[in-house]
Amino acid sequence: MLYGYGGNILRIDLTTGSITTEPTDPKLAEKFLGGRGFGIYFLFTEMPRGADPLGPDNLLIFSPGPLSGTLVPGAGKLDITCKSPLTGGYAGSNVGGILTAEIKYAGYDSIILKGKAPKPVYIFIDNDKVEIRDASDLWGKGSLETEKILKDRLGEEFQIATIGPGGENGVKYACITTDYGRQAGRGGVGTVMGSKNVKAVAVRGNKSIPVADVQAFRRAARAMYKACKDSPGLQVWQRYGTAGVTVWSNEIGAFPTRNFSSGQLEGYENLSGEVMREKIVITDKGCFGCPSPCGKWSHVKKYGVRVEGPEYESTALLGGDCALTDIEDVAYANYLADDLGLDSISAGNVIAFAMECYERGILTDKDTDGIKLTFGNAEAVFAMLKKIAYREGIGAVLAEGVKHASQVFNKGSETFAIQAKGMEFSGYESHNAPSMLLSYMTCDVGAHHNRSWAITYDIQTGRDTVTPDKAERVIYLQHVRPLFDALGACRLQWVELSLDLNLYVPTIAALTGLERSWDDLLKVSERIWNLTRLFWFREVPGFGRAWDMPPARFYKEPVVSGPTKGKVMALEDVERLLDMYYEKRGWDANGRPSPQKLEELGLTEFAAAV
Amino acid sequence: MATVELLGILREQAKVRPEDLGPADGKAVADVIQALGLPADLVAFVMVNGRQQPKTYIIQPEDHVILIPLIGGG
Repeated sequence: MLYGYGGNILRIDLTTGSITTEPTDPKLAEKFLGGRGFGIYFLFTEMPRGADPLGPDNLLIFSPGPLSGTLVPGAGKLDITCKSPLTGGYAGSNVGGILTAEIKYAGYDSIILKGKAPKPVYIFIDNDKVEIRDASDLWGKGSLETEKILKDRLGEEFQIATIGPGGENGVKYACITTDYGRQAGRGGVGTVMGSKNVKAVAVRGNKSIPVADVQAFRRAARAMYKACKDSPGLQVWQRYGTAGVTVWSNEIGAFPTRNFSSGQLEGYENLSGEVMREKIVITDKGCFGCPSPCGKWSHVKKYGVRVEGPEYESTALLGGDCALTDIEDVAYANYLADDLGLDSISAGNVIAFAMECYERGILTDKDTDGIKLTFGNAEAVFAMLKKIAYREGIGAVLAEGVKHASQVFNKGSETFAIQAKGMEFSGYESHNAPSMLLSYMTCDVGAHHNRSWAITYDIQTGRDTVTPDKAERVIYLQHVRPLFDALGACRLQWVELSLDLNLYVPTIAALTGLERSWDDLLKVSERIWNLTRLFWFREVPGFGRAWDMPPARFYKEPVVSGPTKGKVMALEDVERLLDMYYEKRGWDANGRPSPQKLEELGLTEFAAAV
Repeated sequence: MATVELLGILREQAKVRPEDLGPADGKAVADVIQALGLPADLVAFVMVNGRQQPKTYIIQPEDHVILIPLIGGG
């Protein structure tokens, strides 16, 4: 008996219609845990080398983890892995909601989609009953509307993942949405789903998850809940969710403003969590098993829509980076991105880039079909989101991502195309935050904050210093935070409520029957991290150090205003950060894991395939 | 009289205890943070009577001010 797991791997070949299951391998569970660990394992071992990200050979893998759907606080996280059409490398995107629990209750630890359906379909999963069903009537509809239609058709018990027009039309940063507003946003997982002609995945499960020691598990999980409820951080995080960060981020000059040229937006007070709470929030909205529901369900009266959020990240990129200062404008842009099926982070970043191009004269009214693409123009943001989703006019270029757009527009715009590895930066302006900049540079999906949110370390240790401990801290965070994505649980109880990490150890032991120390679990996370790195080397010709460098804005163009005005990194400090990081990781000067490191992690056999 | 409470690592890092500061009424939160010897950027949230306020907020009599650091794993 494999305790703590659904017990099966489900494979669906959309080209042939073949549907098969096999038992989950206990050795795989031991070595890669689940979630993103399973995702990269199957992607690495089963996707043919050099596969076209939008071709039938790419895989789209949905994986809960051992903690998903259990009594553990925040047990509502799902990993979705594929080869990224945005970056050409690894994409592993994490999403909350209830879907992960339902997949687990249906008995699955991974659902692996491959091939391409000949016409639009959705995947129907009701425990052991799995079907590929026609979705011709759903194609072209928004993400949110599609979920509503399928809920009405199948029943509320089904949990549903959908794509919108962005995913159908091959926007390289299209997302997958579930629970009316939770997104697997980054890296184009929705683009891959669209390329396979899959509009939705609907799942219901009624099975139990086997637990090794039920009484001990119940005790351990309840202790975790109690610690969450007793946390002094609960009052602020539950009231505001991630939007509580907006004021602080501006005060310290970390709020991306006008395409990362500044870290503080004039009028940011109008985007604060408190203003959001007063003006638009209807209620809190949590994911499965959450003791601290940070999701906010909002009614945007100005536009007559309801939306989940906006989260801090959406406010940062669609708001600050595009210089919007009305929370209802930001919330409506968020709604459009959600229903069109676009990653609000990448979309906001790309539009801010286009705004800067417009204000510099690199783009003109002729390029924008007459849209005045100036910072602060909310109507322009709304219009561009639609143009991107439907690839209309300049939207067809912006749909390819900011790196590609800068290569098309040229005229020096690469300097301020705010990306790493081809992925747009998320919500932390990092001119004066070396650890945070290194986090973006070395994140394994491209410039994303969720693997390492190290800006607090910069604040505690000094924002102008470049020292080896910063590289060490980034590596530590890159092991701890993604470990939650392998376990299938939310990390925010730890990040926001200071939940003691040691509480996870007896809980996992009681669930799985396997005694594993925290250090042992971190080793698994390091193994996963290094395997994703090998995937990049295998899939991207010439991959190496240059892919870890940030855009020149961070080391050539000082911050123009706000509390960090005048700050800029020296190029040699950026290089030094990378050197220290590689050395501490046991990688060579080009960022490739050494044979010794791979042997230590039990990855030698994988290296042979690179 | 207003009261000021510190949470998490702010308790350890403060050079002065809030109760030894004297009345906070009429002062800006930022000035209180400075008087406590705390780096302002470390204070992520200022909660006054259960509502988030900026550090420019002027403390009123009977306010209960809680200073919360960006805690946890970060």
